[in-house]
Amino acid sequence: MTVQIEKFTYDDAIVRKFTLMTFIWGVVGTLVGIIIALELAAPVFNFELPWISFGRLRPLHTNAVIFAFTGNAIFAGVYYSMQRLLKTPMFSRTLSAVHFWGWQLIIVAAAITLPLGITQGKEYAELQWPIDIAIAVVWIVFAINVFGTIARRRERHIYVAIWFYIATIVTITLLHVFNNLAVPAGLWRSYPIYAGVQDAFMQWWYGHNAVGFLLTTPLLGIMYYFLPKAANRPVFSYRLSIIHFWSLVFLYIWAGPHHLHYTALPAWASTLGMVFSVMLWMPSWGGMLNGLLTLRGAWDKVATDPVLKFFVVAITFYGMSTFEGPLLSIKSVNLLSHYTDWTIAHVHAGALGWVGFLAFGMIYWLLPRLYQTELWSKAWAEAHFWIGTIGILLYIVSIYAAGLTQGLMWLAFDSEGYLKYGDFVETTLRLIPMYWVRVIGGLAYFVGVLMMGVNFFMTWRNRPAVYEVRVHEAPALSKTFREHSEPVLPLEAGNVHVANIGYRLERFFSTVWHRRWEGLPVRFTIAVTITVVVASLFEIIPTFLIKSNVPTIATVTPYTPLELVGRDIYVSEGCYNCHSQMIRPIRAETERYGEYSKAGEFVYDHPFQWGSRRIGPDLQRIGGKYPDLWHVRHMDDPRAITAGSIMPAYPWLLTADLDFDEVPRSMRANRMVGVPYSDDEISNGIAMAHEQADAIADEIVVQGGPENLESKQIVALIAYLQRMGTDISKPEVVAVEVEEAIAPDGAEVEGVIIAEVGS
Amino acid sequence: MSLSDIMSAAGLTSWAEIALILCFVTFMLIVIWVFGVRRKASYEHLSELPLDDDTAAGRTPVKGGRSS
Repeated sequence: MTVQIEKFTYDDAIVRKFTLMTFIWGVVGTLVGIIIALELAAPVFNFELPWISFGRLRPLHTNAVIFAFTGNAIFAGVYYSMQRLLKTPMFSRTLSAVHFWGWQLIIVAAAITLPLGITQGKEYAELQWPIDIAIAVVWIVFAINVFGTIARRRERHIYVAIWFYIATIVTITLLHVFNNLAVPAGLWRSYPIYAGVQDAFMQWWYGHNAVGFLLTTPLLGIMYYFLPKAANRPVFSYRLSIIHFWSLVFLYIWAGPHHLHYTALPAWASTLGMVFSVMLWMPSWGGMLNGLLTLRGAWDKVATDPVLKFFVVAITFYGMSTFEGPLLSIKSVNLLSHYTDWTIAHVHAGALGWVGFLAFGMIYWLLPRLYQTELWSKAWAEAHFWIGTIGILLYIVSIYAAGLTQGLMWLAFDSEGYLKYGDFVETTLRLIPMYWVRVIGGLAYFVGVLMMGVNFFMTWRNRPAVYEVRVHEAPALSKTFREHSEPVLPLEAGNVHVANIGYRLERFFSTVWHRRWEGLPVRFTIAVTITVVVASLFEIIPTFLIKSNVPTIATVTPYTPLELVGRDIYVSEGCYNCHSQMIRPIRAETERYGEYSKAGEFVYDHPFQWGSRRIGPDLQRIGGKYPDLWHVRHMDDPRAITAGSIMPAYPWLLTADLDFDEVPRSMRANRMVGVPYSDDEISNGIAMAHEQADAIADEIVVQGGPENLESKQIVALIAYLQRMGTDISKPEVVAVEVEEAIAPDGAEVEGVIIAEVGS
Repeated sequence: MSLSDIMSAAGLTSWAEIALILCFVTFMLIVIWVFGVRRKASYEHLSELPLDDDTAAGRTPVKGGRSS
């Protein structure tokens, strides 16, 4: 039989584009990171400008680093390695171009909308619905391009790196679509279809798996390709890489609820999240060791090769982060670490160390090959490595210290049984020196990135006038190929059943069917999808459909029109980036903030605003705690009220006009997602909002504050803040009325129902 | 009767544990299956795939790249 030898070339132009944008967005992402680090160290750096205040810039930082920098690095690695592993160019140059330009436009749209306060108010899912749709479309384009390339491959067997890419594509599609389901109220505002506990659950199912399937699996694919290339030896154990892959797919998807320990989430869900997170430790370390052991016998190269240096440190940080992650997911550790900078240190060890250094190593390996010349300066790459490493260490050591300090101070009681540090700002002031060290660490890391830019530019300058496009040769894949002939039983039929069963079992445990099956990417993709979907549904369905998981509270009623507008401002300014609305049921928190939070309090919260970090105090029981005028003064100048506060000033809230005309549209959108506003309430919405705004403005004047605030944003925000967390202390008589209106299902509604704890 | 009434009455509280056990068993089967393999050669072929192209062979040696 003759074998057809085919000639083909690889498309490296698209890899050059993605590699360049990886660098550019790396600069943007780290620069914004330094700005917000400065804002925390000294609030003067907020400059009282709305569009660079911390609450709006922090989402820009996270989005730029996750989706722009890491996203482009992944695409560069995928487009380079897939073509070579499958011996074919990408499926379609047009789709590659659409993917590239579409993704960059999405990032630009994010960079414009986030500083304008256009946000969905869910961490790492801030982008509004038109951009979300664009992301889905471009992601599908990417998926078609990848699967089309696999279909046209000339190498039958699919290397493990590509498995990781497929898992990424499948899972990110699911996460993105289901977490972002929302009802729009205009082009730049929307309300998630989920509320409160369920929204929190969906968000952290998304949030944790974005870490798992955007910051981990595709980069592991890149590690499994580029590390053997750079070390010029195969991966230490291919078996281990298979275990690594399947265990991540099986385990990661369950781990999300560990972000919600001791919250109003049902305890069974958070326990499940904890158990799976702890299980993740072993396979992750298997992967780390597999990476490091690939270098056995080649450690001398590490001393001289900056690419390998970056890879070694990246893999070490992968091991560190994947040990620390399970540790933090244990409830008793989480009790101390949650809401503190410990989490911030953890993610930066992962992002700066693992993601960043792996991407840098890949870029330094790619540059000479993409630009077909020598790397301009190995010494500069070495210097980048060292200054970057020092930057990471400065960052994480200071912020670990900050996290532990603040966590311990929050929990401390004095000998009389009172909170030792009852004033929240005491715990903030203690962190400021460490915040300055973080700025220095961030700057060092940033300088390293800029040095890579110089190396990039100089290498590019030395490129040949015309890139050589090498022609490769490989036989086409035979369509009639059979991996092995049908199994022939070794013994003739007769009384030899036992022997034949033994033979079949032996075959089952051999690679035969495994290798055939992994060569069938469609079935493989289906298997990954089933694994991910089944795990998700087992967690999600009970939370949504079993009523005991979200006990209703009779006195909790929908927000008034003005409060709803105020809540939109709260979301838009990104208050959730620094303030939680979730008091955990422990004495240190109930003493400091008040009654702990119940699941039933959040049933009208689209989106939930529980937060994940307390840079400032929890706000769940802020309602009624201070007079209206206190809030006016505090927003205008926080340090006039609390010396040492690091909150940005929000003077524009006192001057910017409220858009009352938006009220009916917001109420209608909220009704669509399940908030029981009547037709009357919606048609009277504007009048009701004006009435409440006038009352608050009058009250502010009575208390001796400025006049004419009734049409300003501040009154709406005050309306929301004063309402927050007050429903559960409303008088019983209201409860009877509401019981019939919103809880006709016979659920227990007497007074306050405590969330079920323990499963 | 809504779907949530049916789900609430169905007594599904142990489903999470069942799912956990199912996932764990499936995972252990994968581990057994991978390490029960007799054919080392096939894995060797697979693990050589990243090195099986001509990026290095025809290229001039580059700084920071492969040294072969």
